[in-house]
Amino acid sequence: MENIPILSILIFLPIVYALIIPFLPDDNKVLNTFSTVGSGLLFVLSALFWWLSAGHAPMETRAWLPQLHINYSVGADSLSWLLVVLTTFLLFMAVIASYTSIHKRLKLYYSMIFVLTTSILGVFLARDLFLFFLFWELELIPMYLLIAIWGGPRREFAAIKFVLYTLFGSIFMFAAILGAFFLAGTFMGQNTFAFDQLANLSGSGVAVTAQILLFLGFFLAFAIKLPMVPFHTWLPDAHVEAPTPISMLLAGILLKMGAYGMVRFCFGWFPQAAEILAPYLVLLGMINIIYTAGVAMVQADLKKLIAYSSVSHMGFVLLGLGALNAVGIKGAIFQMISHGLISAGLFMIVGTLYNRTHTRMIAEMGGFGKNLPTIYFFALLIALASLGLPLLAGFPAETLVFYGAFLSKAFDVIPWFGGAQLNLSIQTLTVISAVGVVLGAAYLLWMLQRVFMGPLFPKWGDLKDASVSEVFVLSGLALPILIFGLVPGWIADPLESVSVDLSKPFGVQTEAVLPPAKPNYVSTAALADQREGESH
Amino acid sequence: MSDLIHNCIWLIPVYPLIAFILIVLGRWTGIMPPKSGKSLVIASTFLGLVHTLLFWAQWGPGYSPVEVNWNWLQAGPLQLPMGYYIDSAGMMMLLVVTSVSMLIQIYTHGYMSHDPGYSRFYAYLALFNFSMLSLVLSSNLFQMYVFWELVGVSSFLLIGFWFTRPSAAAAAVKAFLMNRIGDFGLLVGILTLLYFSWDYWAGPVLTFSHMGGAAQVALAAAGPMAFTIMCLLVFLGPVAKSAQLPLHTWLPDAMEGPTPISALIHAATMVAAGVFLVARMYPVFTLSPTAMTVIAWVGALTAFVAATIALTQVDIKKALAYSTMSQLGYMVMAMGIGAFSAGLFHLMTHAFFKAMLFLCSGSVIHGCHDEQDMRRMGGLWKYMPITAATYLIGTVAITGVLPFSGFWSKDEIIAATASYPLLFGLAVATAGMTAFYMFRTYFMTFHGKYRGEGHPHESPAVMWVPLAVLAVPSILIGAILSGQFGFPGFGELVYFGHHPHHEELNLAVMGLSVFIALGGLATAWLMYGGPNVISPDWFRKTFQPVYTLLWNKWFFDDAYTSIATKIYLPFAALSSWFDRTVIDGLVGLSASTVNVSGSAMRTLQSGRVQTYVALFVAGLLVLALVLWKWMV
Repeated sequence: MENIPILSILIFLPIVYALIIPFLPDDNKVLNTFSTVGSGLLFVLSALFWWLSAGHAPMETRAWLPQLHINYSVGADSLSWLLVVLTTFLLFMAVIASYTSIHKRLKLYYSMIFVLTTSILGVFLARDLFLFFLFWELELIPMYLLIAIWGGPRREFAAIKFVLYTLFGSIFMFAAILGAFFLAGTFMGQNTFAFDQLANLSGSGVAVTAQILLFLGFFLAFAIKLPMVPFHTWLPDAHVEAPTPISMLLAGILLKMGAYGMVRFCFGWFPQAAEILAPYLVLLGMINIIYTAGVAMVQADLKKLIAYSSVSHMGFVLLGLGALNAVGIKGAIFQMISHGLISAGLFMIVGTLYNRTHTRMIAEMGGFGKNLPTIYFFALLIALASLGLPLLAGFPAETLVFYGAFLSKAFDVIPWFGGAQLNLSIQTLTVISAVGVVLGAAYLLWMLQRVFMGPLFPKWGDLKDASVSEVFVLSGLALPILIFGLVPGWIADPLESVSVDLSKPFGVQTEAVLPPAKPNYVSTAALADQREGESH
Repeated sequence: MSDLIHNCIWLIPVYPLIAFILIVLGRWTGIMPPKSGKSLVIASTFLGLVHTLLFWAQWGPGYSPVEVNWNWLQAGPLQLPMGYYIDSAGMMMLLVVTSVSMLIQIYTHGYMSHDPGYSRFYAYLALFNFSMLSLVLSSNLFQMYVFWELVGVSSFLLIGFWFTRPSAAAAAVKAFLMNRIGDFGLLVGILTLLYFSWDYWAGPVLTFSHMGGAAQVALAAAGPMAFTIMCLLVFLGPVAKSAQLPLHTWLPDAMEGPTPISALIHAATMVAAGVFLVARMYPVFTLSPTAMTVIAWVGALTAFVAATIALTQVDIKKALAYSTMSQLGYMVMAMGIGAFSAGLFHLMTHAFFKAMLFLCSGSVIHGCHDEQDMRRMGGLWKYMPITAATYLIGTVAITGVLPFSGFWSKDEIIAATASYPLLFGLAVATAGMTAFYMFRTYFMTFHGKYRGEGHPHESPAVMWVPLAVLAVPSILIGAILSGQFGFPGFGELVYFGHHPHHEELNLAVMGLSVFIALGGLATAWLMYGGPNVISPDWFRKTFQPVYTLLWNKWFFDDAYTSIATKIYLPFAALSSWFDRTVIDGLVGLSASTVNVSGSAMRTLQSGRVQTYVALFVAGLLVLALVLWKWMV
C-alpha cells in the first residue's frame, strides 16, 4: 500500500478520462455511461483509499523544479480526505444529473468536467504551495467553458465575471505565496513552498504585521471563493446561468476550496494573525448570514434564492473559524461537508423543476406537491436540512459552530479605527447570527409554500414526476444528509485531531480555547455520588 | 426479561420510528398494500405502551430516576449527549403520550378512511410519536432541543397535511416560524446556561440529573440579572410551543390540520411539551424569582386572553383551540407560582379530556360533512348521541365540576394562587369564562334545532369507541389521583424537591370554583341553551368595542402581519436592491475600469493571457513593496 501513489492516481485519473473521451464514439449514451462508470470508480477508489490509509497520512513527494524549490508534493489528512470524497461523490451525482440537463457537445462537456475534477482534487491534496496555486488556477479554464458553453442566456457575462473575480483574488494570493516563500528563506534558511515547513513560519520570528499581510493576501482570494460579502455578487450570476450539474459542483465543491484554503493557510499557518483578525471574521460571518438571508427572502428567481441561501450558510464557516477553538473549527469544517451535500441537493431540485417548466420564476410555480410528490418529498427533506433541522446533516454543523462561538473567549470587543472599539463580543455576534436560523426557516419555508403547496396551476397539470436518474441523484444526496445527521460522529470524529491541532496555537495569551477535556463518566451512579459529595 | 425491559427503554421511541421507515419504504417501493400503515403504527404505539407499563411494574422502590447517556457529538472538550432519563414526571408523560396516541391512531382509521393521503398521514403520526417520545425520554437539554424541533416539524407536516389548500399551507408555515422564534430563544438560553455553568460539567453536558448543581454554578457566575435573562430566553421555547402570549397565534391556525392531529398534537401532547420543559428546567428557574414571576404572569394572561377570545368563536375547532391555549396558560401559571405538581396534574387530566373533546368535534365535523361552523349545527344530540354524551363529559370535566377530572387538577392550581390576589382573580375569572364558552359550544352544537342542510349521522364504532375509552379517565383520573380516595395523590408521585406531605383540600376554593363553574354554565344555558333568555346579539351590540377586540383576537395577528410585510419585507427588498445596485454596481464599475485599462494593454498585445501576466507583475510589485517595507 505504501508504495502505490494513491493520491496521484486519484488526481490524474480524471485527466486520463478526459483524454479517453475524444476517442469514444459520438453517442450520448456511450458518453453518459463512460462518465458514470468512470466517476463512480473514482468515488469508490477515493473512499477505498481513505479507508486503506487510515492511521497514517499518505504523502508523495518528487523533486520537480529543484532550482526554484518547487516539488511535486501531495498528501492527505482527514480534512483533505473528507473533501476529496465529497468531491468525487458530488462529481458522480453531477454526472448522473447531466443526463437530463445536458444534451449538446457531450464530449467536450465531460472532458471539461473531468479536468475540473483533477484541478479540485489537486487543490485539496497539494502539499506544495506552487502546485496548489497551479491547480487553483487550472480550475478556472474548465469552469469558464462549462458556464460559457452550456449556460443560460447571459452565460458569457457570468462566466467572465466569475473568472475575473477569482483572478482578482489570485493576484493577492500569489503575492502572499511569494511572500511566504521568501520569508521562509530569510527566517528559516531555506526558500520553500512545502506546506509542512511553511506551517512553522509563524514561529520563526516573522513580524506579526507581515503575518497579517500574508493572512490577508490568502484570505482575500479565499473570501471571494467562499464567497464572503461584499465579494459575493459573482455567485448569483454564475449560478443562474450555469446548468444544473455545474451549479451542484459550484456550490457543493468550488466554494469549499475557499473555505479549505482559509482553514489550511490562514488559520493553519498564521495563527497569530488569525487571533488578531478573528473579530472581523466573525463580524463578516454574521453579516454573511443575516444580510444574504434578507436578500434571499425577496428573490423572485428560485435559483437566485437558493444561491443567496448558499452564501448565507457559508457564513457559518467564518463564524466557526473565528471562534478559535476546536468546537468552532470542527463546526466550520462540518459545515463545509453539510453545505456541500445540501446545496447540491437544492440546486438539483431547482434543476428538476426547470427541466419541466423552463422557468425559474417562483411566481409562475405553485402546487407542485400534487403532481410531483417525489420531488416534493426530497425538496422538503433537503430544505429542512438546510434550515438546520436536527437529525439532518445541517444541524450538527450549525450546533458545533454556535456552541463553539458562544463558548469562545476569542474577543469581548472589536478594535476599530482610531483607537475606538465596537462593543460587540463574540457572544453577541453569535446571538445575532442565530437569528439567521429563523430567517433561513422563513425564506426556505415560504419558498416551499409558494412552489409546492397551494393549488396546482392548470398549465402544469401534465408534468411528470421525477425520472429514475433524478431519483437516483436526489436519494443519493439525501441519504448522506440523513446518515450524517443521525450519526454526526462519522464526520466529526475523523476531524477531531485536525480541529484540535488547529486550535492549539490559539489562546496562549488570550485563553481563547476551552478548558481541557475532563474524563468521561465512569457510571452515572458513581457520578451521582461524586456530585453529592461536591454539593454538600 | 426484566433486564431487557429495563435496558431497552430507548426502544420505546424506536418502535414508531421503525413503523415510519417501513411505511416510507413500503410506499416508495409499492410493496405495501394500501391502508396497511394503520396496523403498523398502532402496533408500534401499543408496543411502546406495553413496554412503558412493564417498566413501570418493575421499576425499583421509590421510583428513583433511571439515566443513561451516550456521546452523540463531540468536539474538543465538548460532549453533546443523547440518552434517556425517566423519573415520575417522565413516566407520567410516557403513559399519557402512548395511551392517547394509540386511541387517536385507532380513531384516525375512521376519520381519514376516504382520504387519498391515508398512509402518508399514518407515516407522519409515527414520525410524531417517535419525536414526542424521544422528547419525553430526553436525558439532557440539548437532546430535548433536538426533539423539540422534530415535534415541531411533525406538527408542520400535519398542519399542512392538505397542502393544496392555501390556508393549510400558510398555517403550517406560520406554526413552524412562530416556533422557530421560540427555538431561537431556547437555543440562546441553552448556550448561555452552558457558558455560565461550563466549569461544572464533566463529560456529557446539560444533563437533567445534574441541572441543580449546574444552576447553582451558573447563578454564581452570571449574577441574578444575567441569570434571569437566561431563564427567560429558555422560557421563550415553551412560550412558542405551548402557545403562550405573545407567540400563540399559530395554534388557532393549526386547526387547519385534520382533527385527529388537532387532538393529539395541538391539544394533548406536543403543546404540553412546553410545560414539560419548564418542569425539567425547574432546578434552574426556581433560582430566579423574577423569572418565576414572569412565567406565572405569562401563563395567567394567556389563560385569561385566550378565554376571552374563545367567548366569540363560532368555529368549533377554533373555540377548542383557544380553550387549549387557556388551559396551557393555567399549567404555565402553576409552574410559575411553584405549584409544580398541580401544573403537571392538570397537564395529564387535560390531555385526556381535551383529546376527547377534539375527537368529538372531529366526529361532529365528520358527521356534518366537513362543517365546522357552529352556527350551522345545533340539535345534534338526536343524531349522534354518543358523541354528544362524551362531549358533555369533556365539557363538564374542563369546566371543573365535581367530581370530574378537571375539577381536581384545576382546583389545585386555583388553590395555589390563593396567596397572589391578582393571579387568583385572573384564574377565577378564566374559570368562569371557561364554563361559559365550553357550554356555549356544547349548546350551540348539540342543543336546539339543527341549522345545517346535510343529514348528520353518528360516526362509526372505530371513532366512537376511542371517545368512550377516553371518557373513563376524563371522569375518573382526577379523583383517583386527588389523594382523597385511598390512592396516592398525584403530588405525592410527581413532585419537585422534597417528598410532600399529604395535603388537605381547600374547601373555600373548591366551593368558589364550583360556584363559578355553575355560574358560567347557567349563563351559557340562558343565552344558548333552551330558553334563549339573553340574546347574544344584545351583548354584541351593547359591548361593541369589547366585542370587536375579541372578535379580532386582540389584534395580535394583524400586528404580526404588519411587522412582517410592512417592516421586514421592505427591509429585505432594500437589501436586495443594495446588493444589486451598490455592491454589484461597484464591481461593475471596477470591471469597466479594468476594461478600459485592458483595452489599453490590448494595444500592446491582445488576449487575456497577457492581462493575466500583467496582473502577475502587479502582484509581484505589491510583494516587492511589502518585502522592502518589512524585511529591510
